[in-house]
Amino acid sequence: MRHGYFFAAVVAALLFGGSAAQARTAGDRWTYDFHAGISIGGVVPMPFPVEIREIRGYNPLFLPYLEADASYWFNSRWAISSGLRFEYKGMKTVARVKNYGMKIIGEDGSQMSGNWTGIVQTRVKSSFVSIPVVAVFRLSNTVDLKAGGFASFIMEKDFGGKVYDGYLREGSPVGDKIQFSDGAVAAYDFSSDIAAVHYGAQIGADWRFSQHLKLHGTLTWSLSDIFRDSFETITFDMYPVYASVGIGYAF
Amino acid sequence: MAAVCLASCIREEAANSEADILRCILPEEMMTGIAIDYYAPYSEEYNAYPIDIEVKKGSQLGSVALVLELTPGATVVPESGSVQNFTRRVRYTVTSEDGKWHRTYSIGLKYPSEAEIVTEYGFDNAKITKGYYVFTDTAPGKTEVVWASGNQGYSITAGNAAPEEYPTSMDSNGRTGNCLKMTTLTTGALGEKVGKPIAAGNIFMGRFEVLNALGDALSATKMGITFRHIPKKVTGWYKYSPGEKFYDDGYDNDLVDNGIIYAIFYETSTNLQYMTGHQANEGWIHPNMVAYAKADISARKDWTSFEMEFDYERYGKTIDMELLASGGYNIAIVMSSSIGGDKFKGAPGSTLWVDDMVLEYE
Repeated sequence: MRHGYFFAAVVAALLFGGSAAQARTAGDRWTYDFHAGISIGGVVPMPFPVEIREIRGYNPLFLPYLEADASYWFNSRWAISSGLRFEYKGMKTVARVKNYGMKIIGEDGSQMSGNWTGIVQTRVKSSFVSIPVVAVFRLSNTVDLKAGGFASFIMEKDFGGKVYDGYLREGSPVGDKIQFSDGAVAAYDFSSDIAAVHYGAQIGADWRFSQHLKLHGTLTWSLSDIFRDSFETITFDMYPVYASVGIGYAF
Repeated sequence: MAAVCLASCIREEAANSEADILRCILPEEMMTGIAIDYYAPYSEEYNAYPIDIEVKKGSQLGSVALVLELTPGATVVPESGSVQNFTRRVRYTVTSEDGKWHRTYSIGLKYPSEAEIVTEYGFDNAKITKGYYVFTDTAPGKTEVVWASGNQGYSITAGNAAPEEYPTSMDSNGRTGNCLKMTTLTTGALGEKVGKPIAAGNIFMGRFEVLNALGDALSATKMGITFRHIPKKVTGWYKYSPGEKFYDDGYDNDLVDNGIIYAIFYETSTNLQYMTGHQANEGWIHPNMVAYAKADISARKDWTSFEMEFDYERYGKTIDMELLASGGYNIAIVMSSSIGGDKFKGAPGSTLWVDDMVLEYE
C-alpha cells in the first residue's frame, strides 16, 4: 500500500508540474511526456534449465508502472530521451522440477539446502525505480521508435514461495532424503538475495492518436541476473523480461 | 505470452542424479515381512548407509542372491542378483545414471533377536553420533536398547550446534552417574514464522525416520521395540524445572509447563509395525493397543521417584501368549520435557532430568 500512495503522489506531481510547464514553443528542443500502464512478463531462466520439467501455472499479477521522460531533439528525426520509471515486476508460477537447487525453511524454522524434486510455487513481486536512456527516431508524424537501455534500483523485494509433493536431498542428490507429501509444505524465501541494481535493454514505440495523447509500448529485457552474484542456491541465472503498454500524455 | 514461451521451452529430461537402493528382494522363504528402512542415516561405523534386513531364523546366509531395485538408470557394484556371502555385511556402491554421484550401502542380514531387551536404564552411556547424544543401555546377554529422539530431526537443520545444545542430551549430575536431560528450546525467528516456535526435548524406544522428519513429522517418530513379556510398571527418578513463559499461540497466558513420561504396549501386525505420533495425537485409541501407562511430571527441584502401572483394562484385550513369545508385541517408553511439545506448546527452558529407570514385567 505504501507504494500505492507513492504512485499517487508522483501522478499528482506530474499533473500539476505538467500544467505549470505548459506546451513548448515551436523552437524548443526539449519535449516532455509521461505515461502510465501495466506490465506483463516473467523472470525467465536463460537458457531454460533442464531442472524445470513442466510449467503448471502462470499468473502475471497486476503490475502498474508510471514513467516521466524528457527528450532532447537533435533535429526533426532524432532525439535522446531519459526519465524516471516506477514499476513493478513480478509473476506467480507453479512448476514441477527435478533436482532443482533449493534452500527451504524447515518445519522447525531453520534452513536446509539441497536438491528438490517436486512442485515449486514461486511468487515474485518487486518494485523498482528505473532510469531509461533511449534513442528516439521519429518514423512519421504519429510514430516514434525507441531503443536503449535502463538501470533499475530495487525498492521492495519479494522472491519466494513454497515446495510440496516431493522431496529434498540434503546437500546433494545423494544426501539424506526428506520427503514432503500428504499436504506437507515447506516455504522458501530468496528475497534478500535479489540484486539491488539491475540493468538491461529496452525497445519501444509511441503512437500519437491525438495532439497530446499517445499509446505507448515497451519491451524491457534485463541483462543482469535477478540474484546477487554470491547467491548459488539456484544454479541458473534468471532475467526479468517484461512488456508494458500504457497511455501517454505529451506536453 | 510468457506462459506460451515457458511451456515450449521445456528441455529434454536430464539423466537421474540419485543413486538409491529402493528395494531389496530376497528369496521368499527368507523374508519375515518386517519393514526395511532404506533411508537410515549414514553410519560412521560402517562408513556407508546401512540397510538391515531381518530374515527367518535358520536361513542360509553363506550364499544369497540379493536383487536390488535402484533409482532408474543407476548401476550397482557388486551386481544386483549376484551371489554374496552375507555371514558378514556386504558393501554395495550405487552410481547414478548421469555417472556423477555415488552412494555406498552396507547391507546386513540378521535373524530376529531372541535375546531379551535391557530393562534397566541408567542413562550413563551415550555416544555422540552426527553431533548429538544417542543413549544406549546394555547388559550382558541382552539386546541393547538404543533410544531414539527428535535430535536426529533437529540435526538436519541445527548447523554446528554442540551436543549439549540439542533438545535431548546427557547431564553428568545424575542421581547415580550420568542422567538423561531433555530441554524445550526455541527455534528462532524463522520457527515463529512457520508457527513452530518451540522444540521439546524427547526420547523414545523405537526409531526416528529422517525421511519424514520435516514433512509428516508425526510419522517420523516410530515408537516400539519387540518385548516378549507382559509389562507391569515402570519406575524411576526425575527432576523437573518448567520454563518461565509458556507458549500457546503466543506467550500471553499464565500456564505452567509440565513434562510427561508414558509407555505403550501393543500388538504388531503386517499393517502396523510401529505406533507413530499420529496415534499419540489420537490419544492412543487404536485397535492394536493393549496397555498404557503414564506419569505426570511437574516441578521438582530434587530427585523424585515415579511409578507408572500399565493399564490393561482401558483396552480390554487378552494377551496371546504364543504371539508374545514369538515377538508379536512391542513396547515403547516415551518422555518429553513439554507435555504439549508435539503440538508446539510448552515453555522454552523447561527441563526434565530422568535417571535410574526400570521396566518391571511378569
